[in-house]
Amino acid sequence: MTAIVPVPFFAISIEERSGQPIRRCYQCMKCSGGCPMAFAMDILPHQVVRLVQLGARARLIAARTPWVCTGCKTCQARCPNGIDISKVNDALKAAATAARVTPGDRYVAAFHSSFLSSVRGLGRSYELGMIGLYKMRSGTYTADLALGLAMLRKGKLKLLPKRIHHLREVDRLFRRAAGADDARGAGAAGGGRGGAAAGGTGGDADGDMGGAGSCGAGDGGGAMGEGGLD
Amino acid sequence: MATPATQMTTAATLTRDYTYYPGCSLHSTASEFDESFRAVAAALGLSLHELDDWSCCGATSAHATSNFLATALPLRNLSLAERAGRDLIVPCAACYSAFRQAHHEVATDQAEGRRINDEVQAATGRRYEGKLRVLHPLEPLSAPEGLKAVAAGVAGKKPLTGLKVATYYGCLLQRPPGAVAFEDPEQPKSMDRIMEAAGATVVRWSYKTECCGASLTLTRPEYVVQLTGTITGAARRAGAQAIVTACPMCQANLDTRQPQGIGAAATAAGNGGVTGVTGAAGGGSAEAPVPIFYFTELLGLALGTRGVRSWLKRHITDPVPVLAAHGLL
Repeated sequence: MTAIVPVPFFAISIEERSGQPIRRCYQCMKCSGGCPMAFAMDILPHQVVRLVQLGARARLIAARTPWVCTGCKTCQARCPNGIDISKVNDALKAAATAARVTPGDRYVAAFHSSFLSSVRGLGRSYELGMIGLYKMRSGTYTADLALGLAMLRKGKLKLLPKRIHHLREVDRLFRRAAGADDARGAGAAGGGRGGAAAGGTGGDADGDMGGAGSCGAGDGGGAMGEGGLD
Repeated sequence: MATPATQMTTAATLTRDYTYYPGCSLHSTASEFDESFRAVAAALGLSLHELDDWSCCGATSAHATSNFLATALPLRNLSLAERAGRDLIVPCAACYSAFRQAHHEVATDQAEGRRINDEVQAATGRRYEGKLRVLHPLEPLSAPEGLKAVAAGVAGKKPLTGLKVATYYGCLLQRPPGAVAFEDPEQPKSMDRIMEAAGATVVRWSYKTECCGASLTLTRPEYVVQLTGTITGAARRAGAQAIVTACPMCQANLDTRQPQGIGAAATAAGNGGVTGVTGAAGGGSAEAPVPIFYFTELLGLALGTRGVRSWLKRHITDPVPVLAAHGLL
């Protein structure tokens, strides 16, 4: 068990980027109890919030949880403190991307970039092109081939893309996005780098989740996952 | 803490004219949702005017990677629709949720909404004023006037008598409650009422608002097989002969992944059966799959509109036998 060495200001930067009152959480665990994706997570939702409070940056930006969160907001609807953990997960994905660490789930990361490439290039999502791009980026060429062909045959996937007339407007929004998101998330990415420098080489390292383990859910998502689904 | 009842909007009325935002899915994988919605609207006397030059709402990928795009992409569409001066109707639950959240940011004058609205104005020359009414078709149709129109419309046509359906709302129609939900987010009833008005029997079950896995279907199909296996299994155990949805992702995931879920549950004898994951997969296990309908498809059928068979041909899980058994086709 390694101790968590907090990265200064990480909690505040994630609070700012996500817009969520993370410090209010008192670990009631309703979020993890109802989370439909808990079975696939390496860190349960209530543990994510606790680790953000503790400033455990390295553990969080390498985690799978933010990438497999579907954004269904069941946790948000039930949180007694008004925290939307899906937004915390979005902020953590952004922090991971900004820090250029290997995404906790590279398939999901490849999907999002492929989807948005299509939207930026056409103004709309073009599924066939998006899927092709995703397959190239993820290397999963043969997965779901039969289903894809069945959907093509049934006319569920359009062969030709459709481009909107005022694509320039959408392109301008994409251009502005980079700057706007950086301004808001400066703390999340920059704070982390600052923290690492301040703490030396091991400065943002953290390890076992002592606090989470004492809540009885430290041994992975399986048990909680089943509880949530039943 | 969400207090559902206080978040409901006032009951929508059946205004005659709507600006219609189909979204990317209804133009491709969910084209039967688009066609059946248009047919139902025509049968009930509603005029739909498709929003000119609409663009993608951004969906999951926008909010997963860019807070700015998650609000800016909906605002571009909302600012276009606002100029048209009619209520905006959005059948895709994902687009609807994204629009309602962006609308909420502006209508309640959040600092973030204001800032992004400024950027949208700079990029497009238009600003969203926050005056639009953004509706899901379930709202006007489940209001008293809507239910009356449905009941009157199916009389003498093909009421869904004897068909037992589980209504499945998914995530995005109800959450986040404050900005999006138009009814109790844990116990939604709008689709139940519409189906009952069309003559169907609605079963009680506990998975109305569970998540189907959404876009993970492409990247992590094994998770979606598990999630949808649990949902369809629960519906079968509740006695449903069909599941009714109002979301292109819910329909696609339940429809396309159900055969695999049943297969996995059968081979693993109910022991999970999905690579790398354990849990409550399957449930109802090796039974015949249940068809997954858009609520507009069943309404169109009940109202006697044209085109029903061409919609049903696009399903992966064949819906014809169940309907034929009830004398509906």
